[in-house]
Amino acid sequence: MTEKGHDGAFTNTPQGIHMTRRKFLVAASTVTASGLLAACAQPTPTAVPPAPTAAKPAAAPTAVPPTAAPVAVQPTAAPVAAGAGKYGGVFKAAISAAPPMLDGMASSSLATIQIQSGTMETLINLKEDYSHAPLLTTGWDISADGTTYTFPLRQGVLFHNGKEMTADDVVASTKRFLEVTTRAAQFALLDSYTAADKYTVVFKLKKPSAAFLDALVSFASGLYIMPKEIIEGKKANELTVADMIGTGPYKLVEAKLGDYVRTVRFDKFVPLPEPGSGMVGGKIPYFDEIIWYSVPEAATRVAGIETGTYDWVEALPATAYDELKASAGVTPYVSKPCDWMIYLFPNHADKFAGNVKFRQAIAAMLDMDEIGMAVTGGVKEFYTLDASLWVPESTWHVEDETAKKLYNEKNLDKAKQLLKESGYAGEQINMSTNKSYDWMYKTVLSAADQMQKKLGINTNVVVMDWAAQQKQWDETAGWQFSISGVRGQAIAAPGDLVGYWSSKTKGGLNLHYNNPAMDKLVEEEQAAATTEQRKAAYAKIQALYYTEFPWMKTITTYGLEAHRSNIVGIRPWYRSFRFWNVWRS
Amino acid sequence: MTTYIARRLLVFIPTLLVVAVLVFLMISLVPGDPVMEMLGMDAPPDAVAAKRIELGLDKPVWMRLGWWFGRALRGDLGRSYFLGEPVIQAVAERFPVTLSLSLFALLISMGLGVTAGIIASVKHGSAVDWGVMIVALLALSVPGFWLALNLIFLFAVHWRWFPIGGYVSLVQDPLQFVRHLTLPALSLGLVHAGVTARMTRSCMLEVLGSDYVRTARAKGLPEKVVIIRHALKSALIPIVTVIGISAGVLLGGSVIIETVYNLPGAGRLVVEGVQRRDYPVVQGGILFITCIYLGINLLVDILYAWLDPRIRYN
Repeated sequence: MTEKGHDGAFTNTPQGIHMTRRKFLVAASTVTASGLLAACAQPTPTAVPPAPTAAKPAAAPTAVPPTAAPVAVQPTAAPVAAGAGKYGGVFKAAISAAPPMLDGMASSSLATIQIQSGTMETLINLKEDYSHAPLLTTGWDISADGTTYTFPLRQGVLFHNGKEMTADDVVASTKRFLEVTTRAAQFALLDSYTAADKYTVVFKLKKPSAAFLDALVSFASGLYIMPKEIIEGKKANELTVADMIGTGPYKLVEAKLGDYVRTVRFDKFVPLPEPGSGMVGGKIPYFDEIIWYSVPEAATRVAGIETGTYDWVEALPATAYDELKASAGVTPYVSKPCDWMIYLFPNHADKFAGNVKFRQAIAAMLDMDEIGMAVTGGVKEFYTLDASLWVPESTWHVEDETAKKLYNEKNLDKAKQLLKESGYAGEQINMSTNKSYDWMYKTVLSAADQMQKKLGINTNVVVMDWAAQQKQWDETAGWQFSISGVRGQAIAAPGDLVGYWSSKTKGGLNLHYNNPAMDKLVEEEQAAATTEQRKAAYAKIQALYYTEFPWMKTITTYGLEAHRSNIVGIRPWYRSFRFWNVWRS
Repeated sequence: MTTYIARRLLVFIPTLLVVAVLVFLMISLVPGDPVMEMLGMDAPPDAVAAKRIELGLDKPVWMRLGWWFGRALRGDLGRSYFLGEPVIQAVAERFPVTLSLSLFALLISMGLGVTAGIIASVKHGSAVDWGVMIVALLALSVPGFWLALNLIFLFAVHWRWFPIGGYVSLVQDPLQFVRHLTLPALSLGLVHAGVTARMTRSCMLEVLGSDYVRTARAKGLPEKVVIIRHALKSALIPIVTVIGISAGVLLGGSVIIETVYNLPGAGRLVVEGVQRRDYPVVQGGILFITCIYLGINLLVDILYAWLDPRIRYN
């Protein structure tokens, strides 16, 4: 037993603890105050930059003039002229997810891609019309036999640490990229990569492949050019925030993953003279800073754009479209050409989902409009139906009468006949989905409902979390159908999509599919030396797809995004998060 | 009392051990793979396998559990797979947000709940009593998530009195600290205010009918003194119990509210850890919250002894 004396709040005596009310109040206040002080003693994740604050009440209706009739902005291919905007200010973007890591070479996470889009650059990239164009190079030369690609580099391009980019950096970046990327398979034909001189890099392939340029521009797990001395020997996720050094118009200065990532204008960035187009051309960093906030709750993103807390928000529910159109100072727009091309995933190791007749039966029955209405909450502007595996805006879109006939066929008699031929007799069909992605959840609910009501299939929807669902794809038993979607693969990276259906792609998205005929076509596609040969290969793959259904295409959704009306220069596109050539009016 | 506190603190050790083992086993046995989350769903199997070896995930659960305990005993809770920082640092950076939110919500629930409960008991059977109890019932019936979204719509979007979310520390800007935490704390605290109000009313009604309260009134003491000094203090034991439980629940409940209001707190850290299978973060975060919960329970027990001198722990 200890005694603290008269001044102490507690006095321990053999009789127990005694404390006056006044002392208790003093002690309680002290505990509360010290708790609050402790709470504030350390700089908190949002101490710098400050949390996004709403526009002042008075400013909201007046400073931002209400738009009488907000018009949804449609994608435009028109290039943006450089030098037309106004410098200054902080741009606050709210994205729906937190990046799992900032290492863009190693991660294919969309959040990572979004944040690094302004800080990292690749050798070549896409123009607004999805054609390839030089970015850190002045062009490229392909040898007559199609196996040697020579890239002369732009001279005087500076990294964020002030060092000039040279061929050695490109070689070092390629080396590290191949060690950490999730897309190593796309570089299987790469034989060597060398620095011919200080400003020239040569890539040699084992055999010709027109898909090689696609592999260089892919955003997911990108071949970003970084300084040799920073990245050498660094494995995936071993780069610190300070190591995130690229050549883009913005440089990354601070990151609290799960909260925000702050980038500031790179003052020594020299934009190309031609107008900006797609991911290339003149990129003018008008804003002093761009802060990327991770805001997982969609309702909070909607409220954030309405109050001016954020300047740009993405992944909004389609049902918020009307509300945002009526909201003063907000410009919502339909983001095309593709938010998600949604596929049901059959487990090819399963007795039924792996049975082609069973898959054909479901394909013949599905009413895609039912799925579209379920996913978008009945807002028709936000989905489209198209048979091609690549969106109409893509170079690789395949017009095919057979595919048109078989997609969204809604032929119940045919479906019932095929189901009978498959040998199905009422067994339970487990369909896995998750609630992290509303579009996945609703697609599976709608498909399962149709399968049950129209074909009498005994469907069982299994809701799990996204991590568990992805893990399940490696399993051969316990599930019949799952779900996911593609975006880039449906537009500009067709090789990625068809690659999943090759039996040489093990695990994950291959879903245990093994078809020698498809393997042969994928090899043909990979070896195609010209765009025409590739198009021909994709047409054959699509034709085989519609007899086999290695995956089962449903609808293509469009995204709902919005920006404050005083933000100028947002261009909805395949990647609308390009915040160069964008300014506040 | 010192012996009692020391004994209770000793009990913390096996409790934490059990929690640590259970959490480790649960998170390890749940399907999912942090490597898939890190490398993406189209990562080639050999890259996934290499990463699993690098993180030690290729080893059996019991071996990883042993390693974890070995490090934990030296004060190292591991490094987050995704954040690239020690778990202790990640939790310590974010816990002040959760603590501020929970304390603010507790103040709201205590202030509103106890006051409403006293008024209802004093005005027993009147329209005021009915009104207070109906509001309290509504408050505890409303899901916090729904309440949060509606508060945002009314007070942030429509009237723009408060920001929609985010956090500013007290040191950085006291006014913004209060502005940013008001709606989240209301969303969290109102539900518990309903529970506290109902409990306070019930306990006060029991005490107000007792002999010593009648004696106090007979002595001519002012009604305020009778209610506050004589009745309320006796009624506080069960109320403190409810408040103690609420404090723990508020810490847990802050998980959802932190997500809705985009607060960078420890609750959101743990939820994101679960979603990504960031095992060290989940393990460390839950252990930390368990410690706080145990501490609150101990504090409540100590308060009992002060409120009622008949209670002896020795």
